[in-house]
Amino acid sequence: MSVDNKLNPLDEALRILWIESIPNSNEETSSRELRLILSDNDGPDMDAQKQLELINRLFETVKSVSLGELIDNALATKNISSVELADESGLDVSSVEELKEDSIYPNNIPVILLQKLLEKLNISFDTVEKAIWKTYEMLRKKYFIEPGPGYVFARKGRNEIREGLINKKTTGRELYENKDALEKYLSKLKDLMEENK
Amino acid sequence: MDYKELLDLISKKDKSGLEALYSFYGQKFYAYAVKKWLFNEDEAWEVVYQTLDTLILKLPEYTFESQSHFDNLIFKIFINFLRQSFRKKRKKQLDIVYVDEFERLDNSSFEISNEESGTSKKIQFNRQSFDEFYSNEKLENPKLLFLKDALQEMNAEERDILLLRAQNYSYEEISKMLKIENNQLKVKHFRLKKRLTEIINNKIA
Repeated sequence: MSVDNKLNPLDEALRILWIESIPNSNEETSSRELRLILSDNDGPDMDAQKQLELINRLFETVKSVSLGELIDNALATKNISSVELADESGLDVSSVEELKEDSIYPNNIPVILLQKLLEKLNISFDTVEKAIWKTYEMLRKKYFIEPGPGYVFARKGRNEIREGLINKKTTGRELYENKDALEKYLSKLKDLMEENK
Repeated sequence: MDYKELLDLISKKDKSGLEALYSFYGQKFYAYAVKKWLFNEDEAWEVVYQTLDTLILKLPEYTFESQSHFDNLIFKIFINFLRQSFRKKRKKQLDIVYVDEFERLDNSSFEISNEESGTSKKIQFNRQSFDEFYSNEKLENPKLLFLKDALQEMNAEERDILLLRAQNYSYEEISKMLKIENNQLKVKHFRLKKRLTEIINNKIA
């Protein structure tokens, strides 16, 4: 494949087959393939400026907090329990727990109830907006790959996430578990929070 | 630095953990995407960024039992993004010319109509065979499934030679990886492809 637009059809078929089958391979095969990639020391280096940009963007992700972390931290600071928060905001306890675990798309929660919850915790819209986007990204990427053997879910309840999030069958959730729907939800949340200032 | 130290730094929001993550994995993934999959710099950058960003977002979900478990996760994330980008790239490349060395043994530029070549050495793959892969998530083309079966009729070393060469590893690199003689490897590779083609054609016939 010396010229990018000239392909040997059998090699192309083999490439496709390899890249399709390798994600489902066992750990031994994956390790071997990874070792091959990591052992190559003659590859081209990324431009220094692009490297810096990459690290900085990753750092933004690391620094940002998710909605779950934000709620968790606020509960700890205010010394409030999930039960109390649920009671005062009109949500059920399981929903509060799901929000804390980042296991639910925030726009599953009626916007008026989320606004009440945020009000109780004194969380501003600007702060929660960033956190909600982080949670959205986390959930969007959650099922990007199938967890293989050897992984253990870190938090209790992680493996009890509702079927709808795992199975992308026709639950109807895809209608609002997307970027456009979340943007609309956030716009509504912003209006409500400004009205109640 | 092992994965535990690396994860510890990242959990403490220490930038040096990200630099180490890039240095151990990102840099190599970038080189692999550029060298072996012929991605341009921007495409390779995006694959590496998406891989590492996804890994960071997924870390709270996992505890790892060993270095190899951690490696397995990052490798699978990388391959998934590589696959997505490869598919996207190919879908946009409408000017691909399929060149078959069995039609011209000097391997010169020669466009063939594979389905119509009518020879016993004909290659059955063409753009149509790959379009389903470029456009869909699933590997459903029966010809690719024939290829999968045909590969199983070869031994592990033969499969490795074919799959590594398809990923643009040089003969020298393949000989080192598989600890086999480089001498005659090119000829061996050519013969393996010919044999593989014949197996597929026999299956299709």
